Amino acid sequence: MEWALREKQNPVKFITRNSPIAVHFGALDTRVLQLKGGPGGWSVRCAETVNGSGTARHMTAVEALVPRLKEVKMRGKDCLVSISGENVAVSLVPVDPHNRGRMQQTLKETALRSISDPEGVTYRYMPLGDEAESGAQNVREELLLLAVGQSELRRCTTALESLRVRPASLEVSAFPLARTMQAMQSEIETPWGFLHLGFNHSIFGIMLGGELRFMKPMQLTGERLMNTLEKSLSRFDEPDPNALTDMLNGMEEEPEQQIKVNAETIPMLNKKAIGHAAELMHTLRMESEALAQEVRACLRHFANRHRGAKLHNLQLAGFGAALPEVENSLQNALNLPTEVAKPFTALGIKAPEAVLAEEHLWCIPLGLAIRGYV
Amino acid sequence: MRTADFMPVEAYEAHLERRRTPKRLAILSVFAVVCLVAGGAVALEANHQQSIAEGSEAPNAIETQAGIELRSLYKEMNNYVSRLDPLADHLRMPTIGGVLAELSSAVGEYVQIEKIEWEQDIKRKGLKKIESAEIHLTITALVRGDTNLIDLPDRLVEYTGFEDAYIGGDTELVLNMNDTVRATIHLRGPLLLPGFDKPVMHMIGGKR
Repeated sequence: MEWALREKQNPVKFITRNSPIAVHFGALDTRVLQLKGGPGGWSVRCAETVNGSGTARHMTAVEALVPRLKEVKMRGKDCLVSISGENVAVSLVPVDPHNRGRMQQTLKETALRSISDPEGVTYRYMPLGDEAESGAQNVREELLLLAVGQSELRRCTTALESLRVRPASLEVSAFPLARTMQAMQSEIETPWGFLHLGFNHSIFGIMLGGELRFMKPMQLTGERLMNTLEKSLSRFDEPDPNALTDMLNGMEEEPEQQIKVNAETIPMLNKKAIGHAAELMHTLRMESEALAQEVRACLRHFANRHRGAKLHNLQLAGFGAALPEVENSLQNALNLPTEVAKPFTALGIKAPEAVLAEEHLWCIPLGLAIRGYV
Repeated sequence: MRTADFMPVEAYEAHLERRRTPKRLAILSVFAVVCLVAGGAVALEANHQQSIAEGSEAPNAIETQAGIELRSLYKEMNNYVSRLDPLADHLRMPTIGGVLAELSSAVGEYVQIEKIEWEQDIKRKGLKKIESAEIHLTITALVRGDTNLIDLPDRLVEYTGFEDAYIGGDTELVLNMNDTVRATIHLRGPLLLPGFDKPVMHMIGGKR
């Protein structure tokens, strides 16, 4: 196992007109993005989505993309990669001043406990406080520890080799996501948050001064939100006058349905949700409140370390962000300005309709592509 | 923004280095220079080949001058052609200079040559056609001894390479010289005239 702390990179002066190739191995799909132009006027050169989940999703993407490599119009070989947060164990490790001598041992033990992989575990860590605070002798330091199984890394690198690209970086999805959000809100000096509602996992992070200051996996996932909405919307479809009452009394009685998720899922749900905003808000109230409690706990923790700082706003991304009424429901529960991230619109990046229709799902590939420019 | 990268730090730094302007510019510059040099070399070679081709096609000044001089020489010679043709014909005729040089020693002992005559004898058929041609050599000499006289024609034939020789009928004794006669030896040989493939001798008694 090895570890390294990445220093902030100096801005890069480019002559190339193309960004590096961004590849995000997500929970439900793999997304490939490359921009052309430059920081003064980006546009999308290629944007590809390949559906596939589970441990075979890497090779599924390869099998779908390799025959179409010429059509995909990728330029260059260097590619920046991210993997879904569900494959990565994220931990906050507090290190007291008197325990700094044992820090390495503590981190290693924590990483090995957090994830199980027969091929081994790789971990990285980084301090969440600012540099002055990290260097202080009497301050309890907080480290963000990320651990990933070697098998997942091997699958990624094998898939990338098959795609004939050269991996230059492999990050957890939260970092490119935060990078995109930071590019959108670079003028905000107070803390602001982002919530990635992925299908199988969600993560909440707080940014301050252009750096990640807090990150924690959350309980509420996009899948759970979708199931809740599916159940309530299916009740609306049925001509049962008691459906709403039953729904409000408890949905746990109904058997779990196996829901097939694809690109049509969210538009279909949004279409079904037309005219049912109030009911859906009520349906999502419990989920939102549970999430809000988690977020508030995180905020209390953050406020303790940053002299009572409050969040400026919350940006939503990921599969669950665009589910009907989720944005409003979370905003009400958190009492914070909350909005679904639209980075291409906010940054003025010209993109095809297919990308603009689901900008919140392209935040991570975009964060990879613009690394080095922000 | 700080990040946690699961790839080695060197991989991303190498990526940045590959994209960095000075290095890319340097690579592009080197490539451009290589292209220019290669292009220049090709252009030079093409020019060289072109000059060779043009040189081979273009008139050579020396050759041209020589041609002009030769043509002027021919032109001048044409003015004297009427006088030069008989001279050329004469110069082309066979001579017996080589025979005469050693003839005095070839005749042998006790033979003193007094007079040598030679002529070309050409028989024509009509005005132009030549039927046969011979060269005749007539030697008048004082010869001592009968045997010496009788052998003299054979020795002359052997020396000159002529076809035959005979002693003329005007042999006479020489006054106050014991056992010595004045004899005339006639030699007849083939004459190869210009324009003929082989010499043709006169018909004598149905034989050549």
